[in-house]
Amino acid sequence: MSDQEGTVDVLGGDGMAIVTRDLHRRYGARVALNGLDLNVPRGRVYGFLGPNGSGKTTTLRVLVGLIKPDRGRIAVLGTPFQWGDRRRMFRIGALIESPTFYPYLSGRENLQVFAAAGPPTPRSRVEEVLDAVGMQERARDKVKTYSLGMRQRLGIAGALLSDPELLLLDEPANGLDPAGIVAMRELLRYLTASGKTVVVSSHILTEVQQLADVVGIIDHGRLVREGPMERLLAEGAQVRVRVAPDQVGQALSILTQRAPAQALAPDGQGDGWIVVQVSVDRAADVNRLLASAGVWASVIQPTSDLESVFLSLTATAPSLDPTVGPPQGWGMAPPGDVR
Amino acid sequence: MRLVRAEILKLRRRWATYIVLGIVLVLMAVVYLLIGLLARGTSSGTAGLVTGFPAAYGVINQFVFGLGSLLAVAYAAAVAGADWSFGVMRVIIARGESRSRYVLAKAIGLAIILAIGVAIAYAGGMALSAMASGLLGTGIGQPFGDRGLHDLVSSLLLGTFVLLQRAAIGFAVAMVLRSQLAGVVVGIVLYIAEPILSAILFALSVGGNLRQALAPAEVQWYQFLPFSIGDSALAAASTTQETGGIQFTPVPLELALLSVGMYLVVAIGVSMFSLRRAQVAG
Repeated sequence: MSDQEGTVDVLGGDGMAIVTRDLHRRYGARVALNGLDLNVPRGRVYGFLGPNGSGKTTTLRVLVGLIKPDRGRIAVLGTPFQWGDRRRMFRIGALIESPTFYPYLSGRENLQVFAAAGPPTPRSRVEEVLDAVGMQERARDKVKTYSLGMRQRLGIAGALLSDPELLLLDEPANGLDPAGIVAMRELLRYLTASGKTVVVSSHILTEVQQLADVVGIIDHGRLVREGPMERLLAEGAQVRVRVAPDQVGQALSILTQRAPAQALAPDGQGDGWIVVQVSVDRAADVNRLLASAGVWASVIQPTSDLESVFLSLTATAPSLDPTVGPPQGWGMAPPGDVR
Repeated sequence: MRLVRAEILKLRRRWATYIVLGIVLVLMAVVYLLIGLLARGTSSGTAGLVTGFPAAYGVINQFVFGLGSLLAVAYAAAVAGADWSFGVMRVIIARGESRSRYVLAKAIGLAIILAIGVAIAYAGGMALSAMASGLLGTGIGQPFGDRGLHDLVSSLLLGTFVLLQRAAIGFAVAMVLRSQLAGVVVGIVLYIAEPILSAILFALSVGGNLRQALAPAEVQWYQFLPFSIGDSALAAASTTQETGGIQFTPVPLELALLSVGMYLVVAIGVSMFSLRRAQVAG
């Protein structure tokens, strides 16, 4: 990236922790980022979602200077991104991909080794972060004896070492038990309450739904949706109806007069599920409408979760890379854009 | 300084550190014990020459800086490649550490541990040599006489310098290949292949007439290859001349030391450059 490309005009304005514009990155022929535009507000938990291979980890790698973007502009904590400017990392804590350690060192020794690199870190900070993630009891044990969840906690501790203003966490709940997930959620809430920004990249949508204030969904290296969680959930609300398979066509013709509706199996061979894009409080209306036409719904399921939003957005996102085919849904036809 | 301390902590905790030292000490112990036991009571004075100082320094050099160099190459490659193999390099980079400074600190930490290892191995070699002398009943000679002290000091200084240079090559190979295993394997292969290459080049240069050419009068260019150049420096370390094999005319000590130093600097430079350029995608 040239200096000119790295300059920030409107990027990194007040209130933004991360801004990217037209971010591109390829790995050989494969496009990982294809014009990514992110806007991560300060002091919030940002849920960074996307299917496997959508470019989440590549984005995080770019943000911490592990890889260089092919082009695009980035501002982190109000400062323009420049490749090689390692000191900007002093304000960022990161857990990228799976947590990695020296297996023959104890948890505490690993943190001491990490603390020796990067910004000056007082020795007492190692004990503070061990306390924060509940790892004091096992801190003297070698990391090779740790479970996946314990490694994850130690990885989060490592990310917190420099008391960062911005925390980038890639799949932080991976391997954590329910109590660990709750503890992590509380920790992240505590951090945001003290003004820090947390970016959580995750596949666990229910976790992100509980945790994130703002959500960005990417697919094929491009942002397909970004906004406050409440708005996204409201827009993504739907009612799922199950009717007799031989009445799917009739039901669809009734419903599509009032709202976007799709059969889950568009070839008519499914088991009668139809998705109607209406708010959850319209479930009774859907039932009444069908009943008035003599179509009886055996199940009516109002849903307003991140999963349905995520699936609808990532299933409908166009393939931006001509070398890559369209994303595979899970047998669900595209229910339409909910934006 | 904190980076060097962290490196030393890592190396102190690695089993490989103690295994490498143990291999040298155990092999020396076995050889000296065999000499002491098998040659006891024989009329030949050869065994006494091997175990009596200052001649014994030449034998210890063979173990500590000959076998030791091979192990140091593998060890340094393992140390340099560990950060890649364990995936820890991305943590270090993501913390904003200077890549060049990290490589330099890593190399300095490794050099300190290797120097300590050389000192321990050398002391062990001296003790084992004295033990073998005791078994033989030949006396230990004069380890700290004028000549002995000269050999001891020059062996430790020159030998350690050469060993560090060779280790730096293993270090650089692993840093460039970004792998612990690949670094160890390639480092060892280079270490073993170079004398073979030198022998082949030598044979070619004398047209196969090896018998008449066992002591070439002139310095050969391939004596300046990375692992071979150290032999000239080591040859100057001990006043006892080795016998057997092709006896090249030694490269002048100053030139040999300059070349060793140059290789050391280049190896560290290549390591730093390699990491500076690295994009950590995996």
